[in-house]
This record gives sequence, structure tokens and C-alpha cells, in this order.
Amino acid sequence: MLKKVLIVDDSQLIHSMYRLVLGRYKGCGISDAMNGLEALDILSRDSDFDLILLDINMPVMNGVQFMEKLKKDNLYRRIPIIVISTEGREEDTLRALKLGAWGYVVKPFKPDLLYDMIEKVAAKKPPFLSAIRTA
Amino acid sequence: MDYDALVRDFLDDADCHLNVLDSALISLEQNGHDPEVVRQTLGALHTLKGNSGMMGYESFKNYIHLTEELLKKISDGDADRQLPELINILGDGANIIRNALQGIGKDNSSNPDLSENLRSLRRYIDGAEYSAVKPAVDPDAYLGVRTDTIKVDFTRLDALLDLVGELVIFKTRLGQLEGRIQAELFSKPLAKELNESLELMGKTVSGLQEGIMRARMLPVSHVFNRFPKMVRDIAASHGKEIRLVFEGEDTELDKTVIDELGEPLIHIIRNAIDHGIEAPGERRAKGKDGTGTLTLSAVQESNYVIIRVKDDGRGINLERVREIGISRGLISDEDPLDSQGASSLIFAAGFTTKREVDDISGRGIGLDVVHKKISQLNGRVTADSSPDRGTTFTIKLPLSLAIIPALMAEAGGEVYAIPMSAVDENIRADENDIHMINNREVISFREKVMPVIRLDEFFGLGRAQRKGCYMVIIGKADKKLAVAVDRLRGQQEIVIKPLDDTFGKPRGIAGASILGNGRIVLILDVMSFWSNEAADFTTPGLKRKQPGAVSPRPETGT
Repeated sequence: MLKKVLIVDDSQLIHSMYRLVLGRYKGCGISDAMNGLEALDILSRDSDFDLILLDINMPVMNGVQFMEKLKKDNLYRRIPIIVISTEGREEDTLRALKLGAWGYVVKPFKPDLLYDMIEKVAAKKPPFLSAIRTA
Repeated sequence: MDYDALVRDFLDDADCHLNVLDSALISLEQNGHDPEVVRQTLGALHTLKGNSGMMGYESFKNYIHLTEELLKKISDGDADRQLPELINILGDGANIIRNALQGIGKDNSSNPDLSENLRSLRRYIDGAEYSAVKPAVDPDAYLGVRTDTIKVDFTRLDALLDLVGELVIFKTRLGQLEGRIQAELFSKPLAKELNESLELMGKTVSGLQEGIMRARMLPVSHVFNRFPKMVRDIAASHGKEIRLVFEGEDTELDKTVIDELGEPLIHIIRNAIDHGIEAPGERRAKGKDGTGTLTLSAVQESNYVIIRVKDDGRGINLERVREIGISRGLISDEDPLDSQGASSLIFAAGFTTKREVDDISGRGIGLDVVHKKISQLNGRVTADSSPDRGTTFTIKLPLSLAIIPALMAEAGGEVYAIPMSAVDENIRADENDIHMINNREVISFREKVMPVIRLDEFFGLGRAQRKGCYMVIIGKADKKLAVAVDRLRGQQEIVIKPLDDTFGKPRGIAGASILGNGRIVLILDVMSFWSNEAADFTTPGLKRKQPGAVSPRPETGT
């Protein structure tokens, strides 16, 4: 079950849209960050997230830089990340997967697509969370 | 082919043609003039004349030419000569030809000198009396030329191969029985004897299998030899100068493969002449030889034959391919296209770079047909190109269509055979290696992101809950796909049995095979996986005007 999700995107509209999709998960807490740096700040205070929805092109700190930072820290490494970006070339997806993203969605997309992917993460048993909690 | 073999082939062939002449003369003598008989005989003589000229038997060739002329007199009618007389003289001629052939058979470096016979036959045709000495007939000559070749109806070889296939299955089965017997008898002498006998039998069966497969083989020159004239004609009609070079044309392939190889090769060659090799002026301006070179080569590598068609033309025009790809809706206008992408795009259905339809290669079919055909033969075709240096098409084919090496893989409790020709490599993976792109499962491996097809899901067997699995990476051109299976059970030679029509055409299945333990396995039609939309994880489809719609990718149309 999905309990806490972090949305990282520089567009307010996208945040609203993701919230709409996540509305299907009753009682799911949602945190918003407008760029990678804000997201890191949120995570430094509370790392107990089930999922990060991450944009790539953002000011201040973009998604790639954010994942690079995250990758170095064991505490965060196990949180599944779905990258949602307009960049959809093979090298973009490959880079994201290498940096530890679990899923990749290319914008624009149908909301159902994102929902299906989130369902898959939710259904996935830890390694993700259990590893964090025992860490 | 060495010269001895060439002479043997010539004699073998000549003997057939001469037999046509002999029986024609008998038929004419008994039934009188029949234009059809004369026409057929003229055809046989004409071929024999051509072959003799090619072998350098000049005098022999000229003599056959006169024989032809004489035979024509029968059909044209000769006021001065009666049919029986003409038949008699033609009979003498046939004997002279037979004796000459026998002479070549005895000493294949000899070149028969028939100038004496030539002169008298010439005089006769021109109206004089026939004055030559009757040729002595060596009765041995009627035995024909002794050769090592016989003609066999191919269906008989097919039946033999079928039987050998069964034998291979029984051999494996006996091997398994032996294992059980060994376990019961421990190391009693009887068990040892059984083991030895089985080993010997195994060797013999392998030898038999190899022998029959070899008997079904023909050199690729059978296909290659159709091309020189075609290349010359097309080149001429396009104002191009092209040198056609053959390499390794003695390389042998199963006849069934050879039979199917012509069509795809014609398309590739036409394509090379049409799109690849530039006109002489353009070539010289680039500092190249005005005459382009087209190389057809064949080489055997273990169980495969690699055939390459290489031109030294302008290479694949990336910009043009991209333009066409966009206009045909095969890629989106935001997609970048590198030479690798272009190389696979040209094999897509409905792709052609020709602006107007012509009779050579611009019918919008072509390379996609090539791809389809080669896939049907369990082979692979790829293209490699660099600007102004040319394009190389590489076709990899299994030696035989009937017995192929396959990787045995287990999924959903079933065993499947994956033809090795399609397999790039196998890797161990677990669920955490599987990522998602646009709701399609993918893995990233060796700098590639490739879609995952779970075999159990594909065949509707549900999805097993498991930690580890194996990914069999299969490739088509430079597109790759990972087939997830539960277990690998090693490589094995399997005998392909086509599925009965009652099964229809099940998706993803190319045929079946019987294993040594009597178990039936299905052989995967891996190429069909690309037409499955699960293989379509690539993103540009989502960039289209209709967001979310799954677009046909280049590879899906095939």
C-alpha cells in the first residue's frame, strides 16, 4: 500500500495532476518539491517515502543531479523513483535507469499509464522499504 | 571447384544432351517428322554448344553448330534430301560427338580436333554429297561417361532426412535409458558393453546425419550465377558501371535454403545498384573509380553461412532515410536518427527511399521482404553503412532448415526451444533488474534498454512468482529484446517439425520438436515477438499528435 509519495517537478500543474492520480490511494501523504534541491531538503528531514515522482528538466537542481546525490546515500537509495520527462531517447532512459530510477514515463502520457506504473510499485514488496527501515 | 570436377560436370551434362539427340533420331526414323521433337533437340544441342564453347572445345563446338544446322534442315525441309538420309548423317554426327566426348573423358586435358569432320559436314550442308568415312562406334561410348554424380529426386532426400531426424531423437532417448540402466546395474560388465555400443552407434548416427545433410547441399554459386546478367542489365539501364565480384561461391547450403535465397538477394542487389552505387561521373568527382564494385561473398562459420552483399557506393543517406521514415509515419519528426537506427529502419514495412516508383526496386516493398524472407529461414539480416564508402548487407543463415541448434528454456512449466541463430547471449537477472518505461517492462544491459517479454505471460501461462530468472537476449538487426524464462536447460540440436494446419498459426510458435525423452517442445518464432506490442517500449509514439496512442514502430510492421 502506498503511504507517502514525493513529487518533484517545477510545474504546479503537474503537481495537481499527480495528486489527482494519487487520490486513488486513500490516506496517501504527498510532499511537493519544485526542484531537486527542495526534494533533498525534504528527504533530509524525513526519508520514509514509498515513491518519488521525478522530473528531469528543472531549475536549481535537475533530476539527473538529484539522482546522482541520492545514489550516494544508502538511506535514500532504496526509494523507488519513477522519472517523468519529455526526454524520451534511449540514452535518456538508459541514463536514468543507471542512476537508479525504477521506471520511466515520457510526457505527455495518459493518467492511466502513470497509475498502472504506481500500482506496480505499490504491489512490489520491499527490498525498497524494509531495507531502509533496517538500515 | 577444381578443373577435374568441372570437366566431369560438363561430360555428365553433355551425355544427357546427346541422349536427347539419339532418341530424337530414333523417333524421327520411326514416326516421321515432328516439329516438337526437332525443337527440343535443337534446344539440347544449343546448350551443349554453349557449354562446349565455355570449356574451350572450339572445334567440338563448331561441329555441334553444324549438327544444329543440319537438324534445322529437317524442320525447314530440304528439297534435295530425304528425311532418312538426313537422319543417317545426323546419326553419324551423334557418333562423332559421342566419340569426342569419350576422348575427353579419357584424358580431360585433351581438346578434340574435329576439323576433318567439320569440313565434310560443311560441304554436305552446302549441297555436296556426303563423303566422310563412317565413324567407328565404340560400344563403350554408349555406356555414357562414367561420373560420380547421380540425380536424385529431392523428396527422397527429404524423406531420408526425416528418418535421420527420428533416429537422432531415438539416440538421445536410448542415451537416457542407458543412464538409468547404469544406475541399476552399477558397473557390471554388461552395462559397460551397453555404454560402448551406444557410443559407437551415436557416432554412426552423427555421421549419417552429417552425410545426409551434406547430400542435400548445393554451392551458393547456384544462386550467385543468376546475377551477372541481371547486374549488367540493370546497371546499363541506370547508366552505371558495375563490376560484380564473387567470393566463396563454393560455400554450400541446404538446397531448401538456396531455393529461397534468390529473392532476397535480388532485392538487396537491386537496391545496391539503384541507391548505392553512383553514376560514373559522380564517382569520379568523389575521387573514386568510375566503375563501382559489388561484392557477393559467402563464408561458413560453424553452423551458419554468412552471405555479404557489399557495394562501394554512397552509403545509406541518413537524412533521406529520416525524411522518408517521418513521411511514412515510421518515426516521429522529433526522433534523432543515427546510422544504426537508419540501418534497421530501411527493413521496415512500406519503407522505400525512391521518389517515384520504377521497375527496379521502388515498389515500396523490398528490404522488408528481405527481412521477412530471411527470418523465415531462421536467419538474420543486418546493414552496415558509411557515407561514400558503401553499404554492406550481412545475411546469417543456418546451414539447414531441418536440424538447428536451439537453446532449451523453461517457462511456466513448459520447455521451449529458442533457435540459436537469434540468441545473442543469456544473463541471470532478478525482478529488481526489471524496470518500467511507459508501462512496458525493460532491462538495461550493455548500454541498451530493451523490452522484456515474459515467456510464461506471453503464452498465457500466468506469471510465476520468482526471485531469479534468466534473460535470453535475442537480436534482430540492432534491435534487442530480452525473453524472461525460469530456467535454461542447455543447447541441443533439434529436428524441426512444422505444425499441422489444424493448429492454425499460433502466435509466437514456429514449429515443434520431439526430445529424446519423447517430450514435445514448441519452437519459438522469435521474430514474431517484434510484432507484439509489448516489444514497443520506445517512446516516440507518445510524442505523437495523439498522446498515449501506441504508434507502430518500424519493427512492428513485419
